[in-house]
Amino acid sequence: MSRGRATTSDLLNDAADLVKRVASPWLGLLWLLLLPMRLMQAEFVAEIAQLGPQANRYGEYLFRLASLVLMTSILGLYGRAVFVRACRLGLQSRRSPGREAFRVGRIAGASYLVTSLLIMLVFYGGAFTFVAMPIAVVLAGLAAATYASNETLSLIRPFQEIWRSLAQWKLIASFSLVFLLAVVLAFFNLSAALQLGVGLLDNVIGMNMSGWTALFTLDNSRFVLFLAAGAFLAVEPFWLAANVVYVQRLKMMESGEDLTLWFQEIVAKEQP
Amino acid sequence: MGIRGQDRYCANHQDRQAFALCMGCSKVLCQECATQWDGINYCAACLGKRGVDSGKRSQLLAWGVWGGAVFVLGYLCCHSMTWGGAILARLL
Repeated sequence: MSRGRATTSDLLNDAADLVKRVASPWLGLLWLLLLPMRLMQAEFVAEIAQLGPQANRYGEYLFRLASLVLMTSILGLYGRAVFVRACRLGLQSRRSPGREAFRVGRIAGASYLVTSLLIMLVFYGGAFTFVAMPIAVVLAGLAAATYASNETLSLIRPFQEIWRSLAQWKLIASFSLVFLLAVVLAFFNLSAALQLGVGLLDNVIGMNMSGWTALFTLDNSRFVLFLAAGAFLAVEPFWLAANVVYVQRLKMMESGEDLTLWFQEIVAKEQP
Repeated sequence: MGIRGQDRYCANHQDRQAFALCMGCSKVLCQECATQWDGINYCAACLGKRGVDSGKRSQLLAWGVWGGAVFVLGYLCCHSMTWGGAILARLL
């Protein structure tokens, strides 16, 4: 990790290096565990959009769909916990960790689950305000990065840890904005890649892709939602790694460990 | 229950007079070996066992409460998703 007070670009560079380090196999595992959640979220939003103002008459149906979203979200939370642990171990050992990344810890995992459910309550319950959603996303990232420090079952302590992590809130705001732009870019890249793929199959290989061409347009709301799900999936590992790097740097600055490590590096370089 | 004044000696210290009877294993104890918990005398071994048992019980209770909290929060999340979505659909 780069030393001194972090800038957004330092953080993003360190996050990208970290993801590269732990990519095999933890990136694939994260995507595998997050994919059902993202697809169910897209399906839920698609149903809401289809029902429109009549949505409140289908409360029971939407509740069943929401239960599926919740169950897949819990699976996704486990994936995030394992990936974050792999990132933390990767930062310490400078290589991709082994099976020890699966050992999330019962108490830390249980604390993380309840904290995340509370944050989801804020996210979904406050969705119509448009302000609650970005706040909940920032809190979710910090909750993932700080869950390992929860050694007792507590409702308050995880949020105290998150509050402490907001010390450099400007840095958090700036890299969150960068990731939001990354999601938008990923969305258009995925759309272009899919349409290019369909075009190649149709025009070069000669397969009849007329049905798929009609589906893969931005006029199709389900296609747009599933593309958005894919874009979030693509960016999420880097976002989680950035949160882990940010929290680790903050802890090292608070404890003075960064100066100790810097001194050790200087001494190692000076020695013949 | 005290048994001072009787001609009996501690099971661990033969030269010390009996002070109490352990309610767990009925061992005769001197003042030093007897510990009161909830007003009842126990020897070190029985007290240790009670501590472990109550520790296990309170751990189970904590996990039970936590499980209940997860269930309630999950239920509330599903409701907030449903109604948040319905309100958003009306607004848009």
